[in-house]
Amino acid sequence: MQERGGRPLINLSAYMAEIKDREGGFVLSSDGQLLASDNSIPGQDFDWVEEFLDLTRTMTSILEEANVSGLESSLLQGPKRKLVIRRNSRLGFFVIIIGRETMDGGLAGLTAKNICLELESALGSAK
Amino acid sequence: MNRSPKASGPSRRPSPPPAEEAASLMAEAKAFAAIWHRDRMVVSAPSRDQAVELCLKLISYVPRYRQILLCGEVPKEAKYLKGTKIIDAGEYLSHQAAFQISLAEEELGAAPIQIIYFGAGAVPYQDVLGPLDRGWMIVDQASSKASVEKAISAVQEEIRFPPGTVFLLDPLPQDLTIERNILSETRLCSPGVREYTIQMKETEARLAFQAILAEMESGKTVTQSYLAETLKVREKTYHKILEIGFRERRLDLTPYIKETAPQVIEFLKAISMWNEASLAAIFIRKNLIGYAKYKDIDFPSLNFLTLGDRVEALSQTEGDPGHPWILELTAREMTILLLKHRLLYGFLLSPGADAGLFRSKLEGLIEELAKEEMGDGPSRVYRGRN
Repeated sequence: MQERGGRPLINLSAYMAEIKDREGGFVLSSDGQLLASDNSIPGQDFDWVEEFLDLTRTMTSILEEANVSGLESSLLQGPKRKLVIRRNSRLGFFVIIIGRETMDGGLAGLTAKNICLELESALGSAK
Repeated sequence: MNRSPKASGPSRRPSPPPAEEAASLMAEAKAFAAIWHRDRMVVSAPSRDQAVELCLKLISYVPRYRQILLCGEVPKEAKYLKGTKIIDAGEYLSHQAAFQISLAEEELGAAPIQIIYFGAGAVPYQDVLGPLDRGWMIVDQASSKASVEKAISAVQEEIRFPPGTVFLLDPLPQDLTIERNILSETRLCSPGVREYTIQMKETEARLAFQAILAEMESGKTVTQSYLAETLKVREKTYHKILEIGFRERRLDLTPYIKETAPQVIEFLKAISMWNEASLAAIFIRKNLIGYAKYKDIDFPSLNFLTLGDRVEALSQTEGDPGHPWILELTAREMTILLLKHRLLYGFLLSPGADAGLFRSKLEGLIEELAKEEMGDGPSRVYRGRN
């Protein structure tokens, strides 16, 4: 996800570095395309990310069918892993943060919100 | 967008009737239930005209899809009723054979019959009606309980129903709530509206029974919760559907349907006290074993399964969240909460509900339910009529 000059619209890795026990961060377009990812964590296998993306798409379509305004945020947590999703209500993209069970879900949610805001502003000024 | 508060106006339901009227309503509910359940009965009044008048009142409770057969000394007031068929007096034994064939054909889906015999003197009871275990009424004058018991059969219930009395030869169904509610809610309406409401409920029960049967014949595992959601019926209607189906088709579907377990009912009742949830659904594997809609909202429980499947798909990968897991989706208008803890629990929370607080309140209830052993299927699998 870059401006015309090649400079990234957002430094995802910098945001992700704030979160302890994170495993990955992603930005997904409203139609489910992967726009950006934080692949700064070495040794991680992200093949399973596609399943997370599928889950996000399913959530969106279920809420659309229920005639509600759309997903705002989501949290999946189990004893092994946590997943935080934040949707930008104006532009429709998603910010997804994945971490181990010890990741602070509240902090991750706040970070996802900040990423949303910066990206919305960056995309707005890039137009 | 702010929603305007609900407009206040007159209540849809009329206020409860006074005691005397309530007693008469109860008598009418009993007669309605007896007809709907195809109980055998003797209708009597001081005069023949009054007995016919009472009979015509009772005919309005007979579901339209049933074939009414008029026999004996059919009065002119009854001759031109819609949907009736007059059986000429003749060979009584041939009547009996015809009625028995009709009752047998009901089992195969033919329209159930309602026999009305005018004039007890004209009825060779032992030969014609005696062998038939349901669906007939004798209309007579000046009968008493003693005379009915002497000539016909033991009376189970005597209903004073002006201008006469109805002697029931079969026991009444235990729960008359549906009949009583329909009559109470329409007591201020015209006879046409009342009849429409009665007929609509009776037809709904018949169609629902056919739908349940078709669902079973398709090989699906059927649970009470699944039926409650898909047919949009409450518990009392659900039981009525099965009872009437049994009386009309001689087919008891109860053993083929997984009833909602008492501990699940308690769980759902407890949730209803908290006010946060609009809807709750509980699944074992793919089967809906508990369902309650607390507010008027349209959200198929299948959505919970779809989301659950997606999360379970993750469990097969390196991204496995582990078990038990919780998924919370927040939208402006609602929050969806999904929990997997042996069973799959789906909740729809009202806007502004505190999902965290709700989850913490749930923990104890879920721990309790997790201790119970619950199967997901009925005790028997329906494989059609023998």
